Amino acid sequence: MNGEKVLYFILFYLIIDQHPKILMKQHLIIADDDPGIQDVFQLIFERAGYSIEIFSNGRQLMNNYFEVPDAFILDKQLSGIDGLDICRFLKSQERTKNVPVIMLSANPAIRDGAKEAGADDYLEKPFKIHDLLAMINKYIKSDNMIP
Amino acid sequence: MPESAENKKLFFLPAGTGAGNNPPALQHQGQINADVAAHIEELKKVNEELKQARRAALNLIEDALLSKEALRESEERLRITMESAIDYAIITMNTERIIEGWSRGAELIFQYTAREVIGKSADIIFTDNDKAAGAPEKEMEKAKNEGKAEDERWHQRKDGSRFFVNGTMRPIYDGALTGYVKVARDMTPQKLIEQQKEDFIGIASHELKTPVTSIKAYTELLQEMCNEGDYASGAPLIKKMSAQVDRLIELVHSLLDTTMLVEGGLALHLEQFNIGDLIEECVENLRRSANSCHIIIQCKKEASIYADRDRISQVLTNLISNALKYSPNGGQVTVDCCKTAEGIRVGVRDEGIGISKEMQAKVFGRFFRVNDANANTFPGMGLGLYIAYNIIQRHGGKIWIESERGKGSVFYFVLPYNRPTP
Repeated sequence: MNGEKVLYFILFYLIIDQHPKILMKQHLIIADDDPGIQDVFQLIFERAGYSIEIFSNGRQLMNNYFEVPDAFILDKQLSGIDGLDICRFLKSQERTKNVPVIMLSANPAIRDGAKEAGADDYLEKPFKIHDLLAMINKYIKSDNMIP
Repeated sequence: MPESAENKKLFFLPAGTGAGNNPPALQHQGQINADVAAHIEELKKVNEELKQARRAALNLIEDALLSKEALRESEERLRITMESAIDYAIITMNTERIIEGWSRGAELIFQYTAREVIGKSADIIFTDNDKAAGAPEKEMEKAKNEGKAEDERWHQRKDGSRFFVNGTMRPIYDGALTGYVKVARDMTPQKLIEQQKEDFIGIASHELKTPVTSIKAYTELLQEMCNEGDYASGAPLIKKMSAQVDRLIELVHSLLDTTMLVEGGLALHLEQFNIGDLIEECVENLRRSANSCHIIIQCKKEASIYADRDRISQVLTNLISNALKYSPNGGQVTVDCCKTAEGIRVGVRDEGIGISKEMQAKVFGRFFRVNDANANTFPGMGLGLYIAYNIIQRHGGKIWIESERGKGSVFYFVLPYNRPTP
C-alpha cells in the first residue's frame, strides 16, 4: 500500500515538473492606463479563472522585466507610448515572439495597424465580454494543452 | 554708287562713231558695245537683287530689334510677377537640380537669399529623411516622365525648422530638356489645423469610448451575477458604473460647451453669490478623487460676486481637477481668493509637473494637453482650460498661468465686481 502511495506521489510530481501549465491558471499581461478599464479586466478575467498582471505604463513591457504570459492584451493609446510599438517590440524578441498579442483600441483603424504591427488579433472598444473571452480562448487554449 | 554716274561711264564711245557707218573696225567696236550693254543689264539685275537683299536685311534687323524689345518687356513682366508672388516660392533649376532662379517668395518661405542658393543643389530644401529616401530625384523623374510632379511634404528652412509645402514641379523644354521649375506654397497652418482635427477625433473617440467600455462591461457582469442569483456582488459594480456615467456626462458637456463657444451661443445666467462658498463646494466634490493630494482653501468669506454660478463652478472644477491630475506624485493644492482693485482674484496652485514657458501660451487653446518629462500624456480631451478661458472672458474677467516646468503651476482668474456688460 505504502509503495503504491510513493509511486503515485512520484508520478504526480513528475507530471507537475513536466507539464506545469496543466495545473496552473493561464496567465495574461494587460497594458491599459485607464483605471476603469483595468478594474473591468480584473473582474472579467478573475471570474473566468485567469491570472492577470496589469501594466499602466506600457514602457515597462519594453524592458522585459516580466514572466512570459500566455497572451498579451495591449491598448493602442497608452500614456506616452503607442501600444503598436510595444507589439512590434514583443514580436521582435525571442522570448515573446510566439506569444499571442491582441490589440485593443477605440479607433476602428486598429484593424490595419494591428496587422501591420504583427499582432495576432484586435478588438475594438467597447467590446462584449463574450467576444473578449472567446478570442483569448482561441489563441491560448491549444497552446496550453500541448506541453 | 549712284546709278547715273556708272551708266555715263559705261556708255562712253570714241568721237565720230555713228550707227550708219560700218567699217570692220567699227563693227568690232559695235560688238564690244553690245557686250558692255549686256554686262550692264546683268549688273543692273545684280544691283536690284542687292537692293532687295538690303531691304530684307533691314527689315530683319528691325524685326529683331522689335522682338528683343518685346522679349525684354515680357521678361520684365515675368520678373515683376515672380517678385509679386511672395506667397509662392518659384525656383528654377537645371537638369542637375542646380538652382538658377530663386524668387522673392522663395527667399521669404525658405529663408535663403537668392545669392546664397543660386548655383547650389536644390536638395537643400529637403529634410534629411527625404534626401536619404531619394525624394528630390524621384520628384524630378516624375516631372520629366509625366510632365509635372505634384507633391506635399515637410520641407526644411535655413534655420532647420520644418514646414509643410504643397508644390508642383514642371520640366522646361527649349528643344531639349533644359531644366525644371518648381512652384511651392507654405501650407503649414492649414496642415496643423488638419492634424489637430485628426488628433481630436482620435482623442475624442478614445476618451468617450473608454467609459462606455467600462459601463458596458459592468452591465454585462451585473447581468451575469443576477442570472447566477448573486445580487450582493453587484452593489460595488453599480457604484463604479455610476462614476463612469458621470465621467461620460462630463465629457459630453465639454464637447457641447465647446460647440456653443465656437458658435457664440454660450449664455450666462448671472446672480449674486459668495465665491468662498462655491470654492468650498467644488473642493468638497473633488476631495473624493484627490488621490494623494492635500487640498487647502484660503478664502475671505465676504467675497461676493455677480456672475454665472454654474459656469464659475465649472471653471473652478476644471482648474482644481487639473491641479490634481497634473500632480501625479501628490503634494498640496491650494485654492485662495482675495479682493484686488480689478475684482475678485482666485488662484489654484499645485506642486505638479508644471508647464514650460513655450507651452504656457498654448494652454488655453483647444485640444491642448500637457505631457510630463517622460512624454506621458494625461487623460482628457484638452478642452477644460479652453472652456474656462472663454467663460472668464465672457464675464469680462481675465485668466492666466504662472508656472515652471517641474515646479508646479498657479492658475489665476479675476472676475470684476461690476455686472459684466453684454
